[in-house]
Amino acid sequence: MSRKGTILVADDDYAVLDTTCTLLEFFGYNVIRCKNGLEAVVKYREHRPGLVFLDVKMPKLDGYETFFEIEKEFPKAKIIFMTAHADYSEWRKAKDRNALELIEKPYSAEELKELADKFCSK
Amino acid sequence: MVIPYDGKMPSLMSYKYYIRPTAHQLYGTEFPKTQHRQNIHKILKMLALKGPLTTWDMAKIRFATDSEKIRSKEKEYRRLLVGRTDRGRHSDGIIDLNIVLVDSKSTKRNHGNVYRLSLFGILYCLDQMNFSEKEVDMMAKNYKIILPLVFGKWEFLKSVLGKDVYNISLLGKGLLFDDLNIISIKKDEFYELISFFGIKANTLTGSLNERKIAEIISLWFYVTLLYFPNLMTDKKSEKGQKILYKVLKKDRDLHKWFSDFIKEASEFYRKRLKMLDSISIV
Repeated sequence: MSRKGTILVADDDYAVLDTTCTLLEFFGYNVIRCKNGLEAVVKYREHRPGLVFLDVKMPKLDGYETFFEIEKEFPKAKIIFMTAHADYSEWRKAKDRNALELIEKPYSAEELKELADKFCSK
Repeated sequence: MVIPYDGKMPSLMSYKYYIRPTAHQLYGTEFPKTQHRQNIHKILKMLALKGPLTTWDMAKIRFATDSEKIRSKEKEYRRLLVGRTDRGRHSDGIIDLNIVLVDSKSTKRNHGNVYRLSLFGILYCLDQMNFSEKEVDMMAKNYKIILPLVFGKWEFLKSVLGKDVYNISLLGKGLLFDDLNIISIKKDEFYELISFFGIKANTLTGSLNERKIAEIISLWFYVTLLYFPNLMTDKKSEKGQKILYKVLKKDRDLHKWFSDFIKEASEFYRKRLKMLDSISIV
């Protein structure tokens, strides 16, 4: 089955990661799952996904550190942050470097689909 | 012949939070690399696609005529299914995780246990076996007796819903909607019904057998028809309701069963509303 594109999702909360990935697969995307920021950087290099969803609070590398790491090598990377506790100072820095959105948890399936359809490129 | 199991079974919550993650950990995900995990996936695939089997039948599928190999494979499969006890210590088999059940005793010459997938085994296969639509159809045919309201009506459902029937695999992936945050509250009737579904599924835990779990799975399947079609279309139409109505209109038994569920939900909310109204500070 031809998929709409590839999306990388990084979250250390297994339940959130699992639900987000299941829904994105259902919406027709290939999904790469990562449990922390470091894994996200490695898998980004390997797969070059069309869109990335990054949790802000993660072990090893947090969401913003992961963003800056990826952005250094791939300035056109499309990255959306997901957070339950927004840190706006870091978000402003990331936004200046072309981060797409900061969405607050919990997010609905509809919101997730809208963002994926809007930003994911093959 | 598949026989529904009347003994006590874990809940769907247990599938989501214990059985599925444990099975992932023990048997690996979609494409297992070790021999042990590959063998387990082979057993599950045979039980899904061929229906109930003895370990001898399974070994014969692998090695049609070589009786020496059949004998050794049969032992291996039996060990994987029931586990083993070595120097007083028992290692669990697939049966201990409630993915496979003993269906009956074989009436053939080498009478042994006949094994089959449990409802959780079916969900696990939908999640992990990477089945084609044709293979899901075969599994539905083999297990229509234990999931009568969905697999028992599979061909009819396919004729009305088309590929949407295969969305049942989302339940296999644990998308129970027990976290209501993922649903936009704008989809009123779905929100109310899936909330009630969650309450019903959780309050049945003390007395669950396979028939009741089958009913819960069926409720999930029909309630989510109100949701997934709407989610997949860009138009804010009432497509979900129309599709559900189309199914129920053509099958009297389903119509009666689902109407009873809606009545039960309405009654539940009516009582809850009364309780809220009775709070004296309002």
